[in-house]
Amino acid sequence: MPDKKPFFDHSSTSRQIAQKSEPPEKGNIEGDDFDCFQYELKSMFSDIKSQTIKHLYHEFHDKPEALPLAINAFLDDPQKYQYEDQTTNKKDIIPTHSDDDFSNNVDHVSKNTLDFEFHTNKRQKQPANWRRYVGSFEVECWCTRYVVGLLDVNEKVLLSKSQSKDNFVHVNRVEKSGNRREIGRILEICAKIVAPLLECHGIEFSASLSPISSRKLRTGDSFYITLDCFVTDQLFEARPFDEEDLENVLKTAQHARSANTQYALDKGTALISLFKKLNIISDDSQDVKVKEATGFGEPEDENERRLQDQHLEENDGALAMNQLKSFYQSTELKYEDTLLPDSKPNDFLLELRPYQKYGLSWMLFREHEYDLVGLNNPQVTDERKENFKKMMTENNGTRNPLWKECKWPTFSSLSDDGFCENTENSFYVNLYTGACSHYCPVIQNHTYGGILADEMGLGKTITTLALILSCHQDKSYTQPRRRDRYAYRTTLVIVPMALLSQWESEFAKANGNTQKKCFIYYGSETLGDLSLLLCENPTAPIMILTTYGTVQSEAARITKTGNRIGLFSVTFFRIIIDEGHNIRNRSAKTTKAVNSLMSSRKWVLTGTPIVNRLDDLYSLFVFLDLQPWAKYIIWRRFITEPFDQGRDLNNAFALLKSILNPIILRRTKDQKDKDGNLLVSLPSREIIIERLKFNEKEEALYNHLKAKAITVLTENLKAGLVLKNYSSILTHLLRLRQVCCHLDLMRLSFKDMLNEDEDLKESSKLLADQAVDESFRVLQDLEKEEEKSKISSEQLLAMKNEIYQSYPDFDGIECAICTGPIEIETCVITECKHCFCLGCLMEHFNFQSRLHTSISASNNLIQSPLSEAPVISTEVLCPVCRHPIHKNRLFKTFKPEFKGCSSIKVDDSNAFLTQIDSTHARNYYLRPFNTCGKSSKTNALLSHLQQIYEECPGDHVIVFSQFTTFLDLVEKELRSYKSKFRTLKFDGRMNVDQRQATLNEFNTKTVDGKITVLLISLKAGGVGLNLTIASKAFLLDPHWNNATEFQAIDRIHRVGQSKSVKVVRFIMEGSIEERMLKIQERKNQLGEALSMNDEERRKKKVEEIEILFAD
Amino acid sequence: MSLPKRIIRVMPHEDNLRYFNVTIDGPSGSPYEGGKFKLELFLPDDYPMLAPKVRFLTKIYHPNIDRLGRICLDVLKANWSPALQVRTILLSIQALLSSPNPDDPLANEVAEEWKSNEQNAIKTAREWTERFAQ
Repeated sequence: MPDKKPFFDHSSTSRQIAQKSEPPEKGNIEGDDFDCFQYELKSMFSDIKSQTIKHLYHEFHDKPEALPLAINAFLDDPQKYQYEDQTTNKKDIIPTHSDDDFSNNVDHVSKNTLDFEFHTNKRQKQPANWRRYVGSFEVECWCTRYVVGLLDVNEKVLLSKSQSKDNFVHVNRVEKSGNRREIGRILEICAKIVAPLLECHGIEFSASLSPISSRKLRTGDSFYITLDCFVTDQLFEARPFDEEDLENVLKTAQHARSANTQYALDKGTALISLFKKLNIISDDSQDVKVKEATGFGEPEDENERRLQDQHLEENDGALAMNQLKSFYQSTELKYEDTLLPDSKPNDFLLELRPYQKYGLSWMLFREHEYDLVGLNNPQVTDERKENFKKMMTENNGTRNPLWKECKWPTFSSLSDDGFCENTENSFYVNLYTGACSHYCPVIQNHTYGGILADEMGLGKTITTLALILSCHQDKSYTQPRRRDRYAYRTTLVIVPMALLSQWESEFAKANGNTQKKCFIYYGSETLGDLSLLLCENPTAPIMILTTYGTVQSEAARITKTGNRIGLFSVTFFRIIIDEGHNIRNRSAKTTKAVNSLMSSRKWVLTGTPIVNRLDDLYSLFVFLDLQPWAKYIIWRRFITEPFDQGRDLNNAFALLKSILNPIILRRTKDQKDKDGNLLVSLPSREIIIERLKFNEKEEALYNHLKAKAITVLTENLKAGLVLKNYSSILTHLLRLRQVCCHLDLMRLSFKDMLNEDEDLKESSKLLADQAVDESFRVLQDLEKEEEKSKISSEQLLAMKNEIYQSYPDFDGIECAICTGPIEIETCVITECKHCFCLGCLMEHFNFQSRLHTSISASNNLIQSPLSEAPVISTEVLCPVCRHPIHKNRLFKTFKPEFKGCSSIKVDDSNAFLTQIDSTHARNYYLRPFNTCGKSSKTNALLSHLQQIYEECPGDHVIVFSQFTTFLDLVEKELRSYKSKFRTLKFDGRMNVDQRQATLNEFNTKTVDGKITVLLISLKAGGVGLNLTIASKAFLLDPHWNNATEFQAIDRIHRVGQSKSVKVVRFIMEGSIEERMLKIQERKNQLGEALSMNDEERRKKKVEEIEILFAD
Repeated sequence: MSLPKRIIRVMPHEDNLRYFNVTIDGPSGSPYEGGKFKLELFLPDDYPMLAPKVRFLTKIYHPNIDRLGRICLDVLKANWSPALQVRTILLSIQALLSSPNPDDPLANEVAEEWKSNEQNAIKTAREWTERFAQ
C-alpha cells in the first residue's frame, strides 16, 4: 500500500493531529463505523475515554486503515489525547476568528485555548492577510466584580478599551448568553501598553485566563491573564513615519497636543514597550547593528560594559562624568579597526605619523575622494578592497539610527497563517514612533566632511593641511564660470586669532608646491568681492586663512548693507573651522555667521566636541548640515530631552553614538597603534600643587576682605538674593583671589578689575568701588603700622656696624635653636645680635603668635603653675637673651656677589644701603630683613626661577595667570633681574604681529644662560599655542575650571616635547584658592558638563558660593 | 684616681625616640646626696619651640616637686626658649635639688615643713632618698 504509514510514524501523525485538533462536534460522529471503532478500541484499552475515541475516530475515520492508524497514534502519544479530561466541562464559546485553530499549533500556547479576535465598539478591523505569533506574556488584572466558580484555566476572555479613559482595559468574559460582562481590568502599568494597541492595526491579542488559586474572585482580587500577541501584515502597511513627518508632528505637538498626535505617539511607545516585553527588541543600549552597519567600531571593552551596566542600575538621572567618558570612548577609534589604507599626501613635505595618515585617509573617504584614498598604496589586499567597497556604499547612506532591526521570534513549530510573502527573518522598528518596516531605512548622506576630534596635540592641523594639499579642488567642476561664484579650488580655514600665524607657518612648512598658495584674509586684507580672486582663476590661493572675528564682523556688515560681500560672496570648495567648539553656542553671532558661509565640504576640528553640554554638538551638526539632526526640534526630542529628563537614556545614548560614529574621528594620546605603542608617547608630566603661606600683611588684608565678603553673603543668603547680587559677590570673590596673588592688585582701579573677570557686570560697579576704597584703606593702615615698627634709617646704620663688629667674619656661626651651622643665605640676625636660621626663627615667631592667640582666645586666664600652656607675654623674646625682638627689625645676611640682584626677601627701597656695605672686605653683608616682600607668590616664583637658573641655565619657562595686571607686576619684578631672566609677555591686549614677535623671540635660545620667561594670560594663550620649547610651567592662580588649566599645561605637554614636563600650581594655604580646588574637584565628579537645566545650574552656583565661604 | 663620675644619664626609649629615661644623681651636699633619681623626659611635637616634658619617677621629698613627680621650674614653662636644650634643662633640675625654693612651692605641705622646720624637712628628705632613691 503506497500510503501505508510505518507503525510508529510519529511525525506524520502528530502533525495531522496538530492540524485538526479541534474536538469534533457531536453530531459528526454518529454511525456504525463509529460503534465498531469504539468497540475495538475499548477492547484494547479498557480505560480509554469516550472523548478520546471520538477524537481518534474523527481523525482517522476516512482513512482506509482507520483502526490501526488510530491505535498507533494513541500508543504513540497518549498525552496528546489527555486534554479531553480537562475540557469536558468546557463551556461553549463561539469562535469568531477564522483561524481559530491557529494557537494550537504553537507548542507553548495551551492547546485547548480558543482564539478570539478582540473587538472594539468603535472600529471593526479589516481581516489581515497574514499574522504571525510573536510571543506571550502575563498581565496582572484586578477583579471588578464578584465571580464565583466556573472560572476555567485558559478560559478565553475579551479585552476592550474604555471609552472614557485612555488607559482602562476591561477584561470581559463571554457568558453563555453571548453577552460580554466585565470581570476585571488590567493594571494600569500594563494597560498603558495594551490600551493603545487594542485599536491599532497590525497587532492582535488573544487573551486567556491564567490559573487562579481559588475558585472565586472578589472585587479587588488580582488575577492574571495570558496575552498571546500576533503581528499582522497591517503593521507594515502604514506608511513609515519618516523624519519630515516627525518634525511636523513634533512641531504640532509643541503647540497643541492634539488628540491625534498624542495617539500616534502613544501607539508607537506602546508598540516599543510591547516588543521589549516580548524580547523582540533587546532592552540593551548597545546597538550592535549600528556598529556593523557603519564599520567604524566602538570599543567594547569591559570598562564600557561596566559603565553601561551601571547606567542600567541607576536607571535614571543625569549624564555624569563617567557617561561623558564612555561617550568619548565610544567615539574613539580602535586602531585594529583601521579598514582604510594609508594615503600618501600630495605636495606635502612633512612626515605624517601613521595615525595621521589614517586620519587623512578617513577625511578623504568622508569627502568621497575614493581615488585618493590609498591610490598611491599598492599593497592593498583584495580583502581590504572588498571592505573598502562595502564602506563606500555605507558612506553614501547609513542606516537610520532611529530604526532598530528586530529578529522575528522563532518558535519550534512555526506556522503562521498566510505568512508567505515575507521570507526575511527580521524587520525594522522605529524606536521612537513605533513604525515598522520590512526594509532597512537609510539616511542619505549628503554631508561631505565631518568632525576631526583628535585629542589636543595629535596634530589635527598637520592632518588637515595634508588634506588641503592633497585634494585642493573640486574635480567634478570642470568648467569654471565666474557667475557660479564657486571658489572651486579654495579651502577656507577659520581659526582663532591666536592661531593665525601658526597655521600660516605650518602651511609654509608643509607645502611642497609653490603653485599652491595661502592667503590671509584678516584686518586690512579684507576685500569686497572675492569672486574675482577665487573663481575662474586657476592660480587662486588654495587656502584662505581667516579668523572667527573677521567672519562675524563681515556677517554684521552684510546684515546692515544686504550685499553679499567678502567671504560671503562665494561658495567655497571646503570650509574648515579650527577649534570648532568656538561655535558651540547656537545663538551666538559668530555661530550664525559661520553657519551662513557656503561650501561643498565642511570640516570641524576640535579636541573637545562637547565643552559643557550636549547642545554643543548640535551647533556642530548645524554647521555640517547633518540632517535630520540639524533640525533643532528633532535634536531636542531625541537627544537633549532624554538626557535632560533622564528617561530613555540608554536609547538616546546609543542614538547619539550611531549618529556620531560615521562622522567623527577621535584618537587620544592614550590609544595604542597596531604594534601596541602609544600613538603619541609624551614625556612624563608632573603637576605639583605648592601651598604657600600668606605673609602677615596679606593675611590681615585677606581676613578683612573675607569677613566683609561673608557679611555680604550671609545677608544675601538670608534675603535669598544670592543670584540677584551674584556679581557683587563675585566682586568680593575676585578681591579675595587678588589678595592671594599680589597686594598691589588692590590698588588697581575698578575699571582694570572689570577687565580681569568676564563674569562681572557693570551693575556692581558702585559697590565694587566702595570695596576698592575700603580695602585700599585697610592696606594703607597695615603699611603705616609696619612702618612704625621698623628700624629708623638712622638707627639702621649704627646697628649694622655693631653687628659687623660682633661678627667680623661669617664663619662658624651656629643657630641657637637647631644648633646647626648657618649658611649666609639663610641667616637672620636680631637686634640683640644673635644669629638664627631664617626657618628656625620664623617658626619661633609663628609658634609664639599661635600660642598667644590660642591663650587669649580661651578665656581661661587663670594660670595654675601646672598648667600645660606656659605663660607668655605678647612680646616675642630672643631665644638666647630674652630681649624683645620683632619681625620687622631683623637683619638678613647676603653673599657679597649678590649685589642686590636676586635676594628674594629684600625690599628694593633699601637698595642704596648695600653700596656702603660692598666697600667692606667682608665675606657677607647685611640688609634689613623684610618679612613680607611684595607678594608670597612672586617670591615663590622668583625662588623657583632662581633655582632653574642655577640648575638648567638657558631654559624656557612659561607662567600663567588669569590676571593680566598680576602678570604686569610679575613682569616688572622679573625685569629687575635682567642678568638672569629674559622676560616676555603674551596677553589679549596684543595684536597679531606683536603676538607673533613675542612667540618668535620665545622660541629662540639665549646664549648667556639666561632663563626665558614667558608670561601668558590664561585666557589669551591657554589654547592652541605650541610652546614645546619650554618644559616647565607655573600656574600662578587657580581657574574655576580644571580643564582650562589642563589646556594651558598642554601648551608645553604635547607632541614635540622631548623633556619631562614639570608644572607647579601655586595655591595660598587656607584661602579661597583651596576652596576653588575643591570646586574643581566637585565639577569633575558631578560632570557638570552635561545635562543640567538652568534651575539646577543656578542652585549649583549658590552651593559653590557656600563652599567657598564654608568654615 | 677614678674617672669623673657621670651625674646625669639619658637613654632614649627603644620604641619612641622622643621619649627618654633619665637618671640624675643627688648633688653632693644636698639631702639628696647618694640618691639616684629616675625621671622621664618627652620631646613634644613642637620641640624645640615648646619645652620638653619632664617628670620625676622616683619619689622625692622636695617643695618644688609634687607627689606625682611634676616639677615647678620656670624654664620648663614660661621661660622656655628654643635656644635651651635638654642638657641645660636637666642641669637646671639638678640645681633645683641643690637649692629648693619653698617660696614658689608645688608640694604645699613639704614647703610648709621646709619653712617652719627646715632641719626636720631635710631629715625627711634624706630618709626618703635612702628609702626610695637607691
